[in-house]
Amino acid sequence: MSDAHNSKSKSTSRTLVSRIDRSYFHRPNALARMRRLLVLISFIFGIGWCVWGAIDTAKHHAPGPVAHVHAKWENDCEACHVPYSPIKDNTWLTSQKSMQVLETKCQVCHRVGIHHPLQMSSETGSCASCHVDHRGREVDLNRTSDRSCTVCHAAIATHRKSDASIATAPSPEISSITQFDDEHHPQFASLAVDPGRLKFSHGRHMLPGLSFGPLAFDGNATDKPKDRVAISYGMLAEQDREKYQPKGSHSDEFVQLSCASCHEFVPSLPVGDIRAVSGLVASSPPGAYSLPVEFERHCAACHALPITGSDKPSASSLDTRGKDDIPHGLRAEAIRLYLEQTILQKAIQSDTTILDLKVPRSPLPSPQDQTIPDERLRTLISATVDASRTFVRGGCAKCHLVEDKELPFETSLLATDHPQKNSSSQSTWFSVGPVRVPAVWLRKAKFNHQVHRASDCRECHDAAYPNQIADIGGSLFPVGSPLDNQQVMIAGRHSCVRCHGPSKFDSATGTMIGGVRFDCVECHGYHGLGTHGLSSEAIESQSELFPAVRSHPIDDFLGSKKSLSDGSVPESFRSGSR
Amino acid sequence: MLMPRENSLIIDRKSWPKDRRWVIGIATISIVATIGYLYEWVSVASLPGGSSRSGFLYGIVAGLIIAFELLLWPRKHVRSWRIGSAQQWLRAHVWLGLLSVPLVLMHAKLLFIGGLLNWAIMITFLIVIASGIWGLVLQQFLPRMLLEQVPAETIYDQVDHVASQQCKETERLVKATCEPGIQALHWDKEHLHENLSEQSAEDDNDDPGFVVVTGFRSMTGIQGKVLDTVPVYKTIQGTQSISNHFFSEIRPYLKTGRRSDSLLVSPMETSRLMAKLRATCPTEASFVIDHLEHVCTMRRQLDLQIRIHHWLHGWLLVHVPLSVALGILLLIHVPVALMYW
Repeated sequence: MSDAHNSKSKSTSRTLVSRIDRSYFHRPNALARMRRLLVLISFIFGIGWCVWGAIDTAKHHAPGPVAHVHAKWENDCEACHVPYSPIKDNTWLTSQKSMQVLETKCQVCHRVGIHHPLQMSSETGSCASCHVDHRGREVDLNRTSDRSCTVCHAAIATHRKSDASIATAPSPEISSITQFDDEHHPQFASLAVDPGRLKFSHGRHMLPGLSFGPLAFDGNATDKPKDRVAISYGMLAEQDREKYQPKGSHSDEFVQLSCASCHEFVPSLPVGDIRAVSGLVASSPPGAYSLPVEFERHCAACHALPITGSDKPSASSLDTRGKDDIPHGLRAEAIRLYLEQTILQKAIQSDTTILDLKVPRSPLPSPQDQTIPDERLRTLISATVDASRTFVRGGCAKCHLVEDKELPFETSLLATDHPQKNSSSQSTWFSVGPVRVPAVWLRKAKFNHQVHRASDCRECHDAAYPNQIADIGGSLFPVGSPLDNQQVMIAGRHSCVRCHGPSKFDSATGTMIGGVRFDCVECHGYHGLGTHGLSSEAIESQSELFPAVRSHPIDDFLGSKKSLSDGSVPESFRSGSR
Repeated sequence: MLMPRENSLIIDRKSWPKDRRWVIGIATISIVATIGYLYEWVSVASLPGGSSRSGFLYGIVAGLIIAFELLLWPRKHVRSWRIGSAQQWLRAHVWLGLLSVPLVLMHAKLLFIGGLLNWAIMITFLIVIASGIWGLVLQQFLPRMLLEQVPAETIYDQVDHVASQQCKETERLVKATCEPGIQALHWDKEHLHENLSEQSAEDDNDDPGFVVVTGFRSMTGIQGKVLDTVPVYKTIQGTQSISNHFFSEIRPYLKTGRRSDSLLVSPMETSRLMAKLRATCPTEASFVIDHLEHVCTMRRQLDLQIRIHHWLHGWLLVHVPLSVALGILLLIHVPVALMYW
C-alpha cells in the first residue's frame, strides 16, 4: 500500500498500476462482514429455537392447545398420536391399519357406535377428521361443520350401501338435506304420529276448573252437566291444595293448571326428589327433557280410583282418603286379587259370623291346600267382585285402552277345591294397555327445554292450549278441546326456524329475527344422542339390554311398585291407603 | 464497479426468451397446484393443511425447492463446480423461489396455522421471499443508474483508497501551484508528523516538475478514468484563497465524502465556491480551480456509488441470514411434522 503513495515521485507503469490496491478482495468489506455476523447470529438463533422447542414441545410443535377435555394430555403427544402414523384420514399414508390403531386410542375413552347401518365404510372418516383438536382450549370438538354432514346427506342415495337386501331407497324428504330451513330440511319424522294410547285432553286440563263446559268467571259453572265437576281449590285434599293453589287465591276459585303442573323438570325438583327416568333422559343435561307424568303425582289429586260407585268422590270434595281406591298401574291378576281381597275384608268387617267359617289360609291356594272355602262366603263376595270389576274397568277405560283378558280361575281367591272345575273355568277380566307416551319425542335430534326456558311454552306447544272460544254474555272465553291425544303437541320445524336460522329482517313484525345457531350439530349427533356410545338406533335395538331405555309401559309409572306384577300385594296396599 | 452480470438477474426484453420458459412453467404448476388444492378443499369440506394429500405433496416440493435455493450459497463459494452456469443457477433460484410461495401457502393451510415453530418458519420464509423480491426489483434499475450516474465508478472496496489518493494528488497540486494560506499553515502544523513522513519519502526522489492527477475522459460512448500529468513551473501569486479553501473545506470533503458534513455535498454549493475562487484568483490558477471542481464531482459520484451499492447489496443482510435460519428451522419441522401428523 505504501507504494501507492509514490505516484508523484515515479511515474513508471509499476507505480501507476500500484495506484489500485490489488489485494482488496482478500479483506471483506463492511457489508460482507456484517452479513457473516448476521449469518452466525441466525445460525445460533435457529439452534437456540430448536433447543427451546425441545424443552417446550407442545407450545412449539403443536398447531395449538388441545381442547380443555384433553388438556391432561397436552404434553403427552402419544396419548392420541402414533409416531409416524397420520391421525387424519385424508393423507397419502393413511391406511386401514393406521386408522384402526389410532381409533383404538380414541376409543379407550370414547366408545361410539356406528352412525348408520347403511353407511359406507370407505366414506367413514377417522375420529380426527371431524373432531379436529389443537384449535384452542375452548373449542367444542363436537362442533363439526355442516359440510361434513351434507357431503353425504346432500345426496344420501349415492352414499348408502347398495346392497339390495338391506338398502331401501331413501324417501324423497330425506334424499337431499343441505341446511336447516323449511326448504332444505324435512319435517321432523318423530312428530308424524302420536304413538301414545292415553285418552287425554290438554285443552280441558288447561281450562279453569278443568271442565268441558264454558265457565263464567264468577265461580259458577253454567250449563254444567251434572256428572262433570268444575273443580275448585277447596275441593282438593289438603296436601294437593298446597301444591296447586297459588298463594293469595281463594279456595273457591277454580283450579287453573299450567304446563308445569304436570310437566316437571329436574332443576325445579326439590332436593331428594328422585324419579325413575329413561336412560336417554338420564344421560341428557338436567332439564333437557320433562320428567314422565306419573299418576300419583300429577293425576291422583283429581282422579280417584274407587272400586265401587259408593266410593266416588262427592261433588264438593275430591279428597278420597280413607276410601278403598285401587292402586294405579296394577296388572290384571293384581286387580282381581286386590278387589277380591278388599271385598272379602269388607264382608268380614260387615258380618263377623263369617269369621266362624273356614277361610283359605293363603291368598293363592296351592294344590296341597286342603282347606275348603265356604260356599256362602264365595257367593257373598263373588257378585260384589263382579260388580266392582265392571266399575273399575269403566274407571280405567276413561283414560286407557282396556282389553279383555282371560285369567285362570284357579289363581283366584274364589277358586274351589275341585281342580277340574278350576282348570276348566276361566273368568274374563281386563288389562290396561301401555300408554306408550315417548319419554323423548325427537328421536333423531336433541332438544333442551332448560336452554329454552325463557320462551313461552305456547311458542312450540300451541296445540296443547284451549283452542275454542265461546261467547258467554258478550265476553269470549276459552272452551276446552275434546280429546286431543291423537295430535302431536309439538309444532315442529316451522317453530324452530323462526329463531334457528340466518338473521334477517321480518317485514311483518318489523324486527330482526333468526340468528340462533342452525348448524347440523346444534340438534343432531353423528354418534347418536343417548348415553355415550349409543346411537338412537342402538338404543332402540339394545332395549333388551337397557330396559330403562324403553318407552314407558304402564308399570314404569309405578317406579318401586313394580313388584306388584308378580301378583303379591305390598303391605301398604292392604291397609287401603293410596 | 458495475455489478457483474452473473451476480444479478435483470429481466428485460433481452433475457425474456430464457425467462419466458420459467414464467410459463411456474404459472402452470401454480395453477395446477391451486386447482388440486381447491378440489381437495371442496371434497373434504375443510381447509387442507400440511398433512392433507395436496398439502403434503406441496410441502415436499417446497422443501426441495428451499433446499435448492440454499445451495446457491455454496455454489457461489465453490466456483469450480461445473453444474450449470451462475446465470442458470440464479435464474432457477429466482423463479423456483417464487414458485415456492403458493406451494408453501397451501401447505400451511393458507396461514391458518398454529404453533410457534410453524409461525417462526412461515414468518422467516415470508421475509426471505420479500427480501429476495426486493433485491430482484432493485437489480432491475440500480445497475443502470450506476452506469449512467457514476462514470467515475470504482471498485466498492477501493472507494476510500481512491478518494484518499485523489485527495493527496490534489493536495500536491495545490501546494505546488498556490501560495500557502493561513489555513494551510495551520493544517501543516497540526499534521506535522504526518507531513514529515511524507516529506521524507518525497526527498528520496527527484522533483520531476510535474504532478500526476486522476482525470476522467468520455468520448464516443466510452468513458473512464485517466491519469493526467500537470506541469508545475512556479507558485501562482494571489492564490492564497484557493489554498485556504482547500485545506478548510475541500480536503475534508475529498477525504471522507458525505461523512464530512461539508456543504460541498451539494453541487450548487460547489459551483458557488468555485465561482468565488475564480473571481478572486488570477486567471493562471483557473486550471487548479477546474481540477478542484472536478475532484469534488468525482467524490460526489463515489458517494453515490456507495449509496447505490448499499441498496444493491443491503437486502442480502436480511435475505442470506434468514435463509440460513429458515433452513435450520425446516430441519426441525420435517421430522417433527412427520412424527405427529
